[in-house]
Amino acid sequence: MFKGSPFKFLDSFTKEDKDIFFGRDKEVEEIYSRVFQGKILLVYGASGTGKTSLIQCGLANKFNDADWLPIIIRRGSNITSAIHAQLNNLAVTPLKQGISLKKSVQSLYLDYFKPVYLIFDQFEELFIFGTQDEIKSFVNEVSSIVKSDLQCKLIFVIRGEYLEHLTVFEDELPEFFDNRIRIEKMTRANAAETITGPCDKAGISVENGFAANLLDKLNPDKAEVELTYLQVFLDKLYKKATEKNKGEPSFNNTLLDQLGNVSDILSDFLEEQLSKMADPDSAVTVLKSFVSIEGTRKAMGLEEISDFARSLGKDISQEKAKSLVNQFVDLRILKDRDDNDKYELRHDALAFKIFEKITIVEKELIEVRLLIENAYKNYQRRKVLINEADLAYIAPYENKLFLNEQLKQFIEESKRQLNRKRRRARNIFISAASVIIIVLSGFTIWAMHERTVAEGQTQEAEKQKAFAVQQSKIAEQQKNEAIEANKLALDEKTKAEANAKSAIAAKQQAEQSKQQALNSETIAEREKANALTQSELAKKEAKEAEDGKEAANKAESVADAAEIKAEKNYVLSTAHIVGLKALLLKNDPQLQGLLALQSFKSNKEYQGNNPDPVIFDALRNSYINLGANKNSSLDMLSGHTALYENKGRVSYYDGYSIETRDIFNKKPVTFSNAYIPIGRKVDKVSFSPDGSMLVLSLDNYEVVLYNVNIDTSYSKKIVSSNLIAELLGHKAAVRGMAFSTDMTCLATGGKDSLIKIWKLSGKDVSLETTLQSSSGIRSLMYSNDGAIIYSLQDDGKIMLWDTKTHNSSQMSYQGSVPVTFALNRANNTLVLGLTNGSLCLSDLKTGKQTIISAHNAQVDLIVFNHNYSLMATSGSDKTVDVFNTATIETLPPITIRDIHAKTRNMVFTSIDRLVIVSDKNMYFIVTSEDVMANEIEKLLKRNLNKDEWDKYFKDIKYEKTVSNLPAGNQ
Amino acid sequence: MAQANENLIGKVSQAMVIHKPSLAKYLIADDEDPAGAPDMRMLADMIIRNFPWPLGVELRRLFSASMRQLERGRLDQLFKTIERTMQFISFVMLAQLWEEKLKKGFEIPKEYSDQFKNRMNVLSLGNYTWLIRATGNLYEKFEIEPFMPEMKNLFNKKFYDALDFWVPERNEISHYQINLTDEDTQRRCVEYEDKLTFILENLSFIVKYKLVTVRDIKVLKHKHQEPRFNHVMDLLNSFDSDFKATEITYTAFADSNAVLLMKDFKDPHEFLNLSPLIIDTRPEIIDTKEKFNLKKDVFMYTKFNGDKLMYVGTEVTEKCDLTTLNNYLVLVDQFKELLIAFSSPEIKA
Repeated sequence: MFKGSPFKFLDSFTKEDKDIFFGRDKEVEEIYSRVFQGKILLVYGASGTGKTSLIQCGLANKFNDADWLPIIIRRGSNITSAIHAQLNNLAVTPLKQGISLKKSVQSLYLDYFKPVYLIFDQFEELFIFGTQDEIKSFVNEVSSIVKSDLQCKLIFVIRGEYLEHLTVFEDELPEFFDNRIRIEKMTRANAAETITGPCDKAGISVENGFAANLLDKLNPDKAEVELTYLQVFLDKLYKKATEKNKGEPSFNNTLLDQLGNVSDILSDFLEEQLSKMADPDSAVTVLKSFVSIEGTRKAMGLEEISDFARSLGKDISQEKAKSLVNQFVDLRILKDRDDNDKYELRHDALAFKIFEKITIVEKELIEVRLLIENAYKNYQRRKVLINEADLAYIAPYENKLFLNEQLKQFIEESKRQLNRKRRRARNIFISAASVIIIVLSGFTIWAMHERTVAEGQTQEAEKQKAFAVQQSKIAEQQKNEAIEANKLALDEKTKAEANAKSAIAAKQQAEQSKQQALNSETIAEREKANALTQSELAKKEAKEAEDGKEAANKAESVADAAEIKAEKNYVLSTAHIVGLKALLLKNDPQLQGLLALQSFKSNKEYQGNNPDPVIFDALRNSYINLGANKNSSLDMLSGHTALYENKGRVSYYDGYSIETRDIFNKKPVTFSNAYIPIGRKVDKVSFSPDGSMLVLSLDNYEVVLYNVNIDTSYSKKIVSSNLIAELLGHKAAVRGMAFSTDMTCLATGGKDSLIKIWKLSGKDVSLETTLQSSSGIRSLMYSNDGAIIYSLQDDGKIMLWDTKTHNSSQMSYQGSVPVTFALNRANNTLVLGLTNGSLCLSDLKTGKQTIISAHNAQVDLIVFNHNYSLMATSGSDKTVDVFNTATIETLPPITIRDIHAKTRNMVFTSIDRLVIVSDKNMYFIVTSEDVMANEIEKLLKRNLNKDEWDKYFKDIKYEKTVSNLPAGNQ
Repeated sequence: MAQANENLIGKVSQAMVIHKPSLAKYLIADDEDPAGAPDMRMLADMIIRNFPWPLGVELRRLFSASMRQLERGRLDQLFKTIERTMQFISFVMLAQLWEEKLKKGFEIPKEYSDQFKNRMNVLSLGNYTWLIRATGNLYEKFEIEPFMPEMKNLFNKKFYDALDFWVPERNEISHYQINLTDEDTQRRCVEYEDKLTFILENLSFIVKYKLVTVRDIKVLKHKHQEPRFNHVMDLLNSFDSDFKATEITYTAFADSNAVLLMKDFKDPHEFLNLSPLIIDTRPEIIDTKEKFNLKKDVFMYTKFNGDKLMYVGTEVTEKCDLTTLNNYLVLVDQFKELLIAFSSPEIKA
C-alpha cells in the first residue's frame, strides 16, 4: 500500500509516481505512439494541463529501462549551457571541452546504448528570457541533431500561447510542426479517476458521490477541470482527513462541506500562508521576485532576490531572504535549491497568482530594472553602453531602484560616455568651422595670385592670336588646293563608275553566254541521246554515234558514283535508325544485340562517323542487357575519391583508405588496403601523376602529403602509405593542388587567394614561395615544362604565373565562366569547362579559341587518356561525354547517360576504359565501339532471320551479323 | 564499457569483418592511443548497425548500461536476443522454402507437415529451434541452395546442438521453477553470453545482406522509353529506427509494401519477401481515428489465434493491435496460404 499523501500538490508526477498517476491513459498512449513517428515531438497546451507529468511519468513508464535515456532540460541562464551541463553530468566517457552537441549526444549514446530523449520542459522560457543569438544557435544545434543519424529524439514541452515562437525552427526544419500533440484540460470523468485511483492505492475510503461533489464544488458548471487546483484541494482534504483519523483517513461529503467555498483555492492558499508569516509584506516581495514580467515563473538566487527587493524599494538582506525562502520551501510554494543555487516557484499557476499582486508602478520599476540588467549583460559581452534614449527613460526611476554598485557604475559610465560624445561632437564642429575658414582664406590668396598670372597670360594670348591669323591665311590657301584635288578625284570616280557599268554589262553578257552554253549543253545531251538511239537503229552516222557513246559512258560513271553515294547515305541512315530502334528493345537482348551489332558493322563498312554517338548508345545498351557489363561497377564507401591507374589496376582513396582493384580480368578483387589515419574531414584529394604520392586538403586548411606505395604484383600486402609532410599556412579551404610534371614541385591554392609553391625532394618538403592572387583559387595546373602555373579563380579569371619571376598575367577566353580546366599536353591546348555546359579550347601556341557544345549544364570535370587522344568531360547534367581530340571540332562526342549521378572523379585506363566514380559507385566503362562489338558478338546466339532483316534493313542485302553462326531462318 | 559484452563484441566483430572487409577500419586502435585496443564502444555500435534491425535492436539493449550488471535483467535480455535471432533465421528459411515449393512443387514430408501448423500457431523458442532444424533438413533433402549460401555451413550437429542448449535453460529459468542465487545468475550470464557469441559468430555472414522495407514503387514511363520503377525503400540495417528513406530506380521491380531481404541493394531481382512473418507498419498512413494508437515499428509474427494475427514489436515492447492496418486482411490470407502450403491436408488452416 502507498504510504503518505498520494497527492502531488503543486509538483509534477515523475516516473516513481506510476502507481498514483491516473486519468491520462489516452494521452499517454497517443504520446507513446507519436514518439515513434519522428525525431521531434511537440507537446503543447495551456498551463496546468499536466504536460510535464504526462512526459515524465506517463511516457517514461511506457519504456523499458534499456530503451529510455531521458535528459530533462530547463533553460536556466542559457539553453545551450544547460544542455551541455546535463550531458556532462550523465557522461561516463568525459566529454571534451567545446565539442558540438551532436558529438556529445553521440558519446552519451555510446556510453549507455540507450536511445537518448532530450526533453525540453517549460520550453517557452527560451523565448521569454533568451536572446536572439541564443535562439539562433540553439536552432542550429537542434537541426544538426535532427539531420544526423543519432539515436536521439527531441520532445519540446511548451505552453500553447508561445507556439508561434517556434516558427524560428521552420527554415532549418520544415517538419518541426509535423508531429505534435495538444494536451487538453482533463475531463470530469478522468478527473474523478485522479481522485478515486490514488485514494484506493493509499487506503483512503471514499464516500459514494464524493468525487462528483468535489468537482462540482471546485469547477461549478464547467466540463473540464483545473488539475493544479484539484491537486491543491486534494492535498488540503488529505491533511484534514488525517487530522481527523490518521490511521484510516476518509474522504466524505461532510469533510467537503467543512472546507467551505473553494472557487479560488490557490489564492486562498497563498493568502492563508502569507498571513501566517511574521513579515507578510517582505514575504510577498520575495515571492514577486520569482515572477517574470510575462507572469511566468523564473529561477532566482538569494542575492538576486535581495537586489530585486531593493528595486521595489524594500531592503531585504540576503539572510532575511534566505529565511523567507526556506519557509516557502517548507510550505511547498518554492522548490528547493537547484544545482545552480537557485530557487523556483512550484508551478506557473502560482506565478500567475503572484503576478496579480504586482502593482503597475512595481511593474514599471521591474521593467526598468530588467532593461538595465540586460544592458549590463550586453555591456559585459560586447562593451556597449546604454544609449541616450534609454538613459532618458531610466532617469525618472533612478532614485527608486536601489541598484547595486556595479549597475550604478555602469549607468554613470554610460552618462560619462554620452557627455564625452557630446563634447566630441562640439569639438568636431569647432574644428570643422576653423578648417573651413582656413580653406576659404587660402582660396582668396590663391585667387589673387591667379589674377596676376591671368594678366600675363592675356598678353601672351594676344601674341598667339596674331600668329594664329597668319596660320589661318596659310590654311585658306591649302584649302583651295584641296578643293582642286577633290574635283580631280570626282572626275576619276566618274570614270571608274563608267568602267564598272561596262564590267557589269560584260558580266551580264558572259552570263547570257553561259546560259546559252547550258541550254546548248542540254540540247547536246538530248541530241547525243537521240544520236545513240539513232546509232543503234541506223548504224550509219558512226562519228556521231561514237560521240554519243562516250557521253553515255561518262553519264553512267557519274550515275554510278551518285548511286554509291546514295547507297552509302541510305545504309548509314538505316544504321542510325536501327541503332535508335535497338535502344527500345530492352526486353529482347538478343534482337537488340543483333541490331546494334549490325548497325555498327554497316556504319563501319560505309565509313560512318567513328565513333558515332547513336551507334555507341545502341552498343552500350546491348552490352549491358546481354550481361557483358557484369562486374563493371563497384560499391563505394562515401568519401573523397581520388583515382590513379596503372596497368589495369585502379587505385583509389575513398575517405578512409587506399584500395587497389584489378579491372582487366573483370574480377573486382580487393587485394589490400592502406589505412590513412587522417581523423579529419577531407576537402579535396588527388594522386600525383605517377601515383607515388597522395595529397589531401583537410577541413582545418592543412594540406597533408602521403607517400603511397602501390605495388601492382599480386602479393597480399600490396599497398602501404606513410606521411611525408603536413603543409601549413593556408587560411581557408584548399581546393587546388597540382604537381609539376617532373614531380619536383607541388602548388596548392585555396579560398584564401594564396598559391603556395612547395619544393619536393624525397621526404623533404619546403615552402618555396607564396603568391597572392586577386580571388579564391578553384584549381591549379603546371605547364609541361613547369615554367607556368595556370590558376582558375572564383572570379572566373584564368591567371598565368611565371614560376621563376612570380609575375602573373591574365588569359582571355570566350564563352561563359569557366569552372574547371585541363591541359591537353600533347597539343598544348587548354580546355575550359564552362558554366553553360560548353567547352572552350584555347590553343596556347596560336591563341586560337574554339567553343564546343558538350553538356546541358555546367561542366564539372575534364580528364584525358594516357596519350591525350581521348578526352572525357562530366557535367552537372549527370552525363559523361567522350571526345576524340583529333576530331573534337567536327564530330560529336559519345555520351554515357546511365550513371544517373554526379561524377566525382574519372580516370582513363591504359586500354582506354573510363573509370567513373559517382557518390556511391565506381563504374568501368568501355569507350571503344570495336571492343563492345566484339564482346556482343561473342554473346549472340543467332543471326537475324529474313523477316527481321526485311523489317529493319529493307532494301539492303541480307548478311550474317555473327559470322560464325548460321544465317537466320525464314 | 563494463566487462560484460566485451568477449561477444570482440569475437563477433572479428567474424563480421571476414564477411565485410570494409568494417576492418573499426578494428584499428583509437587515434589518440594507437598502441591500445580498439574502442569497444565503436565496435559495439558497428555490430548494432550492421546486423538486421530486429537483431540489432536486441543487441543494443543487451549492450545498454541497464543490462551490464550480471543480474536477472541481463539474463532475460540474453534470452530475448537469442530468441529474436532464431525467430529471424527461421522466418528467412521459411520464406525461401515457400518460394521454392511454389516454384518446384515438391511434396512436403509428413513428419514436417504434421507438426508445422501447431508449431506455427504459437511460436516459442522451442518451435524456432524445430523450424530451423526441420527446414534445414528439407533444404538438404530437396537440394535447395539457401538464399544466403553461407547458411549451408549451419546445417550441422554442432550448430543444432548450440540451438538446443537454450530451450531447457529457458524452461528452467523463465518459468521460475528454480530460485537463482546471485552467484548462479552471474555464472549463467557469463555462460549464456558465451553461447550467444558462438551463434552470432556463426551468423555473422548476415551482415552481407540487406534488410529493407519497400514502402512504395512508382512507375516512371516517358515517351518512347522503357518503363523504370522508382523504389522508395528504408534500409533496416541501422541502429536508428528513424530509418532514412532511400529512392532507387530500377528497370525491374521488387515487391512493394513489404520487408525484403536483399542480396544486393542495387539489384531488385534477388530478394526474399518476408511478409507476413516480418512486417513494417511505418509506411501506414494514419487516416482514421481507429489508427491513432497504431505503433509504427517493425513487427515479427508470433501467434495466430481465432483468425487473428499477433505480432511482437522490435522497438515497441508492448503488445499492439494491428488489425487496423490497411493490408491486415491480406496478411491474414497470406498466413493462411503459408499454413496450407506446409501443413498436412487433413489439418485445416
